[in-house]
Amino acid sequence: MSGTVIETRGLRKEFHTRRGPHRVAVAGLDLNVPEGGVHGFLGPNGSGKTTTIRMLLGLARPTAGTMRLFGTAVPLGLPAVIDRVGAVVEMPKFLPSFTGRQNLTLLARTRDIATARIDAALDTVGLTDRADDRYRGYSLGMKQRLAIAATLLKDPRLLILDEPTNGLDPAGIREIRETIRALGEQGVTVLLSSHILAEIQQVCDRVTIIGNGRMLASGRVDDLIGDRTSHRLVVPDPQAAIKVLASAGIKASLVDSALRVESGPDPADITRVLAHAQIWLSELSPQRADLETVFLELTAGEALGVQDVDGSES
Amino acid sequence: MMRLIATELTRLRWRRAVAVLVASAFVVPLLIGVVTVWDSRPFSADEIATARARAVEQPSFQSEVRHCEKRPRSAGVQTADQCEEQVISWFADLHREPLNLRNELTNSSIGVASLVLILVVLMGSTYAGADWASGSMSNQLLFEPRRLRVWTAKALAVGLLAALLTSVVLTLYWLGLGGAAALRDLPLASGVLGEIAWMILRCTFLAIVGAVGGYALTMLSRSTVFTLGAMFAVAVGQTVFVAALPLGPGKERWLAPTNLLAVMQGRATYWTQAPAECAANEGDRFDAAMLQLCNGRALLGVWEALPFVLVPVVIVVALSVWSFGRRDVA
Repeated sequence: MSGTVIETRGLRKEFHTRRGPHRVAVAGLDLNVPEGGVHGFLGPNGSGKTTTIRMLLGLARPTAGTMRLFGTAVPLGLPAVIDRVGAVVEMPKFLPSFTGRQNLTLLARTRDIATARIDAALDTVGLTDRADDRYRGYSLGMKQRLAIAATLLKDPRLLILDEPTNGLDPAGIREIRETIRALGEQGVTVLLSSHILAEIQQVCDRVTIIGNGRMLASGRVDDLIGDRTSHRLVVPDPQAAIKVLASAGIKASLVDSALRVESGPDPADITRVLAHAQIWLSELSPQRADLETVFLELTAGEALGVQDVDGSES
Repeated sequence: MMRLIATELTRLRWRRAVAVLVASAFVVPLLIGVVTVWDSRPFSADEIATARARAVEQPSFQSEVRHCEKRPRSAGVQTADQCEEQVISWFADLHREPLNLRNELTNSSIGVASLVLILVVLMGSTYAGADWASGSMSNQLLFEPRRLRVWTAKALAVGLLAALLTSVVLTLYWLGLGGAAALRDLPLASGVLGEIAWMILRCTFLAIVGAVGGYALTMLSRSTVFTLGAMFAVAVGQTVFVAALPLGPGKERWLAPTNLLAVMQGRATYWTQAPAECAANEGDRFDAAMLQLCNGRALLGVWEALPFVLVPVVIVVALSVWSFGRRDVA
C-alpha cells in the first residue's frame, strides 16, 4: 500500500425536508481507502453508502467535513482527478433513446477520449454485439455492463461501484464480480459499495462497515472476522445444559433448537462439564464466523435508514 | 469549452424529439408559405371567364345593372355603360390581394416566426428535460464536474441551434415569397429587403432568448412538464393579473403577446385612451403618431418591449445557474 486514495474526515450530510426535522444521512464519517485492491463499503440499506459516494463524486454537497481523492481536496479539486476516477452510482443512467455506443461516445467526447477506447470498453464488458441497439432495449445486466464500460473509458485508477450487481441474474453477478476482481488485480483501486455480505467477503480484500452514517469497523476482511469460532451443540435438554455450562463459567445461548457457545472454552471442557451432569452430546461442531456474523454484531441496535438531526432514528 | 459545446451539439442532433421539432420548423412554414402564395395568386383567364359567366347568371344581376344605369355615380362609376362591368365585379368576387412582401412582414411571417419561437422553446426544454428524466445528468457530471461549464455549454448549444434554425427557416421563407413575387413580376417596395433582414435578425435574437429561457427553466425545475405547465400558467395568469391591476387605459402594453409582437415586427400598436388634446379637434396640427394616438392606438417600439422580454429570462437564467451549481444531482 503506497498511499490513501479516498480519505474523508468528519463527513456529514443533512437533508433538508419541507416538513419535520433535518435528516442526517452521513454523521461524521472518517473513511480511508488505501491504494490497490478491492475495498468493500458495507452497510444496511439507508446507512449512507450512496450519499457518501455521491459526495465524493461532487454530485451532492456535504454539510460538513473534508474529502480527498488521491490527496486532492474535493469537490473543489475534482476536475484535476476526475480522469482517474470511474464510477457507477446506484442504477445505470443513460439516455434511453440513444444506443449504447452513442451514450459512450458522448461521454468520451467530453474528455476527448479516443473512439478506440469505446470499442475496447464495450469489448471488455461483452457488449460489442449489442452496442448499436437502443439503451432502452437493454436488459438490466446489459445496462450495468454499459455503466461499467463507461467507467473504463477513462482508464481509471479508482473505480467506485455502488451496488453493481443489483438486479442481475446469477450469471451476471458472477461476471461482474470477476470483472471487479480482475480490475483489482490489475492495480485499480475498487471501492465496492454493497449490502450483500457474501459479495463483499468473496470479492474484497478490505472492508469498511458503516451504519447510520457512522463508521463501525474498517480493516482487512480476515482481520475483522478474526478467530471468531463458535461451537454448535445438540443436546436433549438445552435449558438444562445452559444452566450446567453457566455454572462452569461457559456462556451458551439457544439458537433454533441447538446451543451456541462463543469462542473461548476448549471443546474438551464443554464435553467434560456436560458429561459430569449426565447430559450427553449428540453433536458438537465448530462454526467458523463469517462477515455476516461480524456485520450483525456491529450493526446490532443500529436502525436502518437515516436519523433525525437530534439523533432519533426513523 | 469548444469540445463540450461540440458534444452538446451532437447530443442535440441525436435527440429524436429535437429532430421532430426541427423538421416541424421547416414543414409548417413551408405549408404557410404555399398557402400565402396560393391565396395571392393572380386570376387566370379561365377563372375570370368562369366568374363572369356565373355573375351574369345571378338572378338579381340584371336588376342591379338597371339600378346602376339609373344612378351610375351611386354605384361607383361615371357613366351608365360602365355599369355592367361594375356589377360583374361585384358578383364575380374577383378580389384577391396580390402578394405584397411588406404586408407579409406583419402577416404570415409573424405566424412563421411565432411558430419557430414556440418550437425552439420546446427544443430547449425537452433537451434539458431528457437529461434529468433519464438521470444521465449525473453521468455527464462524472466526466465534467465543472457545473458552470456544463450549464453554459448546453445553453450555448441550444442558443446556437435556435439561431441557426430561425435564421435559416425565415430566410428560406422570405426567399420563397420573394421568388414567387419575382415570378409574378411584382415590384419590390423600396426598403423592404432591409426591413426583412431586420425582422429576421430580431426574430433570431428572440429565438435565442426563448430557447435559452426554456432550457434554463427546465434546468431549474428539472422537468419539461413543469416548464411547459409553468409557461402556460404564466401566459394565462399574466393576462388575468394585468387585467386586474389598476393600470388604467393601455393595459395591453404590459401583455406578453404585445411585447413579443413589438420585437418581432419592430413595433406593435395597442388600444389606449386618446389624450385630452385630441378632443380639441385640431387634427391637422398632429403628426402621424399623434393621429394614431387620437384614434386610441398607441405605438410600442422594440426598445420599449425588449426589457419586458429579457428581464424574466435573465432572472430565470440566474436562478438556474445558481441552482445547478448548488443543488444535489440524483
